[in-house]
This record gives sequence, structure tokens and C-alpha cells, in this order.
Amino acid sequence: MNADDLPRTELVNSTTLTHTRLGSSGTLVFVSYIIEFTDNTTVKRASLSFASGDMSLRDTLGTALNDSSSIVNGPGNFGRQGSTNFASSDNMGYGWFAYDLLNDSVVEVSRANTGSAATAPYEAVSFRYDQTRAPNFSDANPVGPYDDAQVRSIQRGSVSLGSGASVLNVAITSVDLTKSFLVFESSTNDADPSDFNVSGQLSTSTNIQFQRTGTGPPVNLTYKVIEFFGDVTVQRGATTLSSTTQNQAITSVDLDKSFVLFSLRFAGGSMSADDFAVADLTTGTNMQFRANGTGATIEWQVIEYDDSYVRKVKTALGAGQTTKTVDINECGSNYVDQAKTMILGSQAVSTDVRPDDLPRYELTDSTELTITRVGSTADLEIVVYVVEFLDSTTVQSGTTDLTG
Amino acid sequence: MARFVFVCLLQLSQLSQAASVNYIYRGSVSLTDATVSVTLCDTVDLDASVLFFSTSINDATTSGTLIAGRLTDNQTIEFERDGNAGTAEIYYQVVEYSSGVSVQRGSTNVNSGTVDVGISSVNLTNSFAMVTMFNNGTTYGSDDGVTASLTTSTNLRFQANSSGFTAFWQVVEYDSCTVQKITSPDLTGTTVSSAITGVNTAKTMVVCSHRN
Repeated sequence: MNADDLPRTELVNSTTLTHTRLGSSGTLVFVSYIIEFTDNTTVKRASLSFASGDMSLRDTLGTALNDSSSIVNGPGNFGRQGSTNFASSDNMGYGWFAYDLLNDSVVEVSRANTGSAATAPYEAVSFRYDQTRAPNFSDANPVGPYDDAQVRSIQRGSVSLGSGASVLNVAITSVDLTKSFLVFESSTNDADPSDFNVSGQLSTSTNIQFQRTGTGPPVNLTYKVIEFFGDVTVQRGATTLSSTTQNQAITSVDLDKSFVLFSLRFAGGSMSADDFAVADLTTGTNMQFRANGTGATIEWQVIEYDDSYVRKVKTALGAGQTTKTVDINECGSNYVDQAKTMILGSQAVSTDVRPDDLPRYELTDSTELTITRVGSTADLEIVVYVVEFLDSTTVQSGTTDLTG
Repeated sequence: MARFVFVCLLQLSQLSQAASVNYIYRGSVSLTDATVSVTLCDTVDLDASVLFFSTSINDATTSGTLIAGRLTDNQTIEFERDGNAGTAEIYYQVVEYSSGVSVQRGSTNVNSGTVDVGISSVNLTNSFAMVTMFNNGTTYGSDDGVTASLTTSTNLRFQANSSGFTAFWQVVEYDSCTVQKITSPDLTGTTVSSAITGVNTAKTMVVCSHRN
């Protein structure tokens, strides 16, 4: 038999199953299962026509699927068989196809050879998603969307940790510490890590405390304290690194829904290996800090966000390497919705570094994370939390080049 | 009021029986040798997980192109072929269900034209079989196909026009579906069709195998 003697299989209408080939050598006997779902599973099907020169084709589904519960499959033999007019040999590169669900609305079908026309049917099957993974599931709310983690309040402000000061306390309206976390950014004109490495923490329900070990030039701080009504649980603490690998016990969290925010402070006059760390949730009850020096104090928050799915990417950027693209689905998990996903990266460095040796992190598409730096001194160990929100939270992202 | 309560209870009952997906592990891997294994990032419930995969390969040998796949343990997929010609790109999807789905699987040496494999009892009205195979050989011939047919609730029958190859199979019992098994007329020309009981095509998928 040649490649053209193998058929494609299609459900052409509600009462007809058809097997079609271009050649006619050999006799084929078929056993097919017609599987009609009686739950809310849906099936979209199409046949893609490959011109002679087409290696792969993409098809856009009319309505987006839930890609957390959807697959794409070839209905033909072995789940991969289409039909081709290639009659010169039995090379399967012309008529066997690989099917990939690129995201919630695009199917890609590819083959290994060009040089003949072919037809490739596919079926995109969207199964019922297990809503019990959603918080607050109950029989009374069995199929609703993920509940929102609703924000109770956001307090924000800009303050300055003044010249000569190492501690700044900022009074805030009382929050529930178990449902609130702090996010902040800093800027300063200084070269000493002891001055610019500022840690921040909710020290009490009514106070944010920023600290550094030095007393140099002022550091401008912009903060947000976000408090939720529920569906978010926060643990916090301070850990001083006495070892380059240090474990910190935490109350049990679901790793699929948890991520870490941290900041550190440490003495020193140049930016070196002891000024950076990664925070790795290694188990549901353990957070591991790794650094290439000791002495830093890390103020950390572990946030368990019920309505999220968190992927953790662990990778490295070697000395001499300025960029790396990492598949965030290397574990074989699903694609992320970029419009609902934020990323939190941290790195440990192997030696003294300059600012240009530090990277930025970008979610460059629904499957890839890109890490980029200008300099290339030092090996970097990298941990990135990719937090995809499953509730109505949305994320906007972009990159801005600062000039001058 | 009584009607309203009844409808609610009915819906809850239906939902409790519906199959639902816990997680889908998907990815791609290149097969350059006779076998390749994929380690999933987490363990799956083997009794409730189904492997779907497809391949593309530029090769004309059956030992190179016929690729079988299976879950060998709760965190490993194995793809296997008899030879190692050509590089196959394999796209896999492992669907782990939370409820409503039971899966049996195995590896069978098809050592005669008909081989029966005993399975735990399934309901034929909502069960189906999936099969992939690998075989030696250089050209695609009558020995390179196999059909997998649930002949009784406890028997899976493999039929081929030859013997001496290996089939990896899965039998999936899916609570919330209705299955028709269709044995089509022999295809001797270019097309053959089978009449089936009417289905909603927007809720129907097809799994097919053939022998030559």
C-alpha cells in the first residue's frame, strides 16, 4: 500500500460516518466508536485541506474553548490519519498528522512532508471542567464560574525612607492580616545595597514597616496594601539567611494556588551574591530560600489565592548568556491566558554584578516566558511564579523603554 | 413549586454523574530512537486518565512510523516503535478526570489474527476502545493494521491480517455518553459510508481503528 491508500474518517452528518481515501489498493476493515456525550461536553470538527506545499495549517475555532478541559484529536486510525494523494510510496509524512491545541481558540495541524495535497479532519473536544476545583463549591452552586476573590480595600501611597534613616513606619487603616498583602516598588540614586535594598512588611494590621541596613540617600517607595474579603490567605514572616539553602516552615498551602512575594535587606557596599535570593515553595509546608551568600534578612509573604492556578518555572541563565526563553508548560500543563496572568520572578546570583547583569521577565506568549538582560556576568538561578487568575481578574502588561 | 424542586433535583443528579476533567497534561516530544518517555509534572489517577496522541514523521518504513503510546505508570508516558528511522514529532494529551470515567489499559502481543483480551466488566453502551501499535517491517502492508472491538462487556478483541506485533490499548468507560460501535463495510474503492443512529454532531466524537 502507498500513502494514498490510507483513509481519513469523518462524521459527515448526524447519521453518516465516512472513510475516504484517494488510492484504492488493499481492502480495509473499520471499527469505529461513535461517542455522543450526554453531559455538557461539546465537539467542534473541521477538515483542513492541505495544498501540496502546506506543512502545517491553523484553524480558528468559532468560539473559544475552555483549554483546561479540551483536547484536539484526529478521528482517523491511530488518532492521526488523514488522506493524501501521495501515491509514490508509503511515506507517512504526507498523510499522517499531528494535532495541537495552541490555545483556547486555535488548532494547529501539521505533517512532516510537503509535495502532495492532503485532507486532515480534526475534532476539538471540550469536556466538562471539574468545578469542584473552584472555591466555595457546593451542590447549590455546582456549575458556576470561579468565585471572585473580591477586594475589600486597596490602600496606596508614596513615601520616602529619608536620608539617614533605616526604618520607616507607615500607618494604614486596619486590615485583616490574613487576607492582605503588601506590594511595593522603590527607586533611589545610590550604589550601596545596604542603602537601596529596602524590605517591606505589614508589621501590624495598621502599619507597614520598611527597613534597610544602611542610612544613605533617600529611597522613594510606592506601596499598595490589598485586602480581600476572602478566597485569599496570607502568611508572612522574616527570615535571616544563616545558610545558602534555608528552609522556612509555613502553614500548609495548595502549591497550585500559592506564590511568594519577598524583599530583602543586607549590609554591603557592592551588589553581590549575598544580595539576591530565590524563594521556592518546595512543598505545601516548606519554603526554601536559596542564595549564594548569607546574612540577608528576607521579609516574605506567601499568598494562597484560591481562584488561581500557579505554575512555577525553575531555570537558570548562565554567565555569558543574555536571554532565554522557557516553556512555562514544560510540565505538560495547560496554556495560560495572558490577559489573566501575572508573573513574579526572582533570582540568585553567583558573584558580584552590575545593574545590567540583572534580568527582566516577560510573558511573551501563552506558553513562553522570556528572561532578558543586557550584561551577562554571573550565573543566575531563577524561580518564576506564573499566576493565572481563574476569577474575573484581568492583567494588562507591556514593556516600556526608558531613554536618557 | 413541586415542579421547580423536581427539576433542581434532576439537574443535581445529572451533574453528579457527569464526567468532569480534573486536569489535562499536554505537550510534545521528539522520538528519535525506538522509545521515548515523558515524565508528567504530577501524578495522575491511572484509573481515570486517558492518553490521546498524534504524530507526524517523514519516513516510509513501518518500523519507523508505527508508534504506540501508553501510560506506564502514574507519571510516565512511553512512546515506542520497532525501529528508529526518522524523527517523529509526537503531541500528547493526558486527560485526567475527576469523576465519571474509568480506564483500563494494557499491552497485548497480537500473535494471531484474532486475539481476545479479558477486561473488567464495562457497560458497552458507554464504553469505547482505543488502540495504537508498533511493528517491524519496511513497507506498509496487510500486517500493519489492527482493530480493537469490545465484543462483550468483558472482552476486547484485536483483529489483524497478520500477527507478531504489539498493541497498546485503552478501554474507556465514560458515564455520560452513549456509544455506537460501527463496523463499516470493507473499503475496496475510495470511499465507504456507514449509517449510524442519529447523533448531535456538536456533542459527538469518533474513535476509529482499521485493519488492512
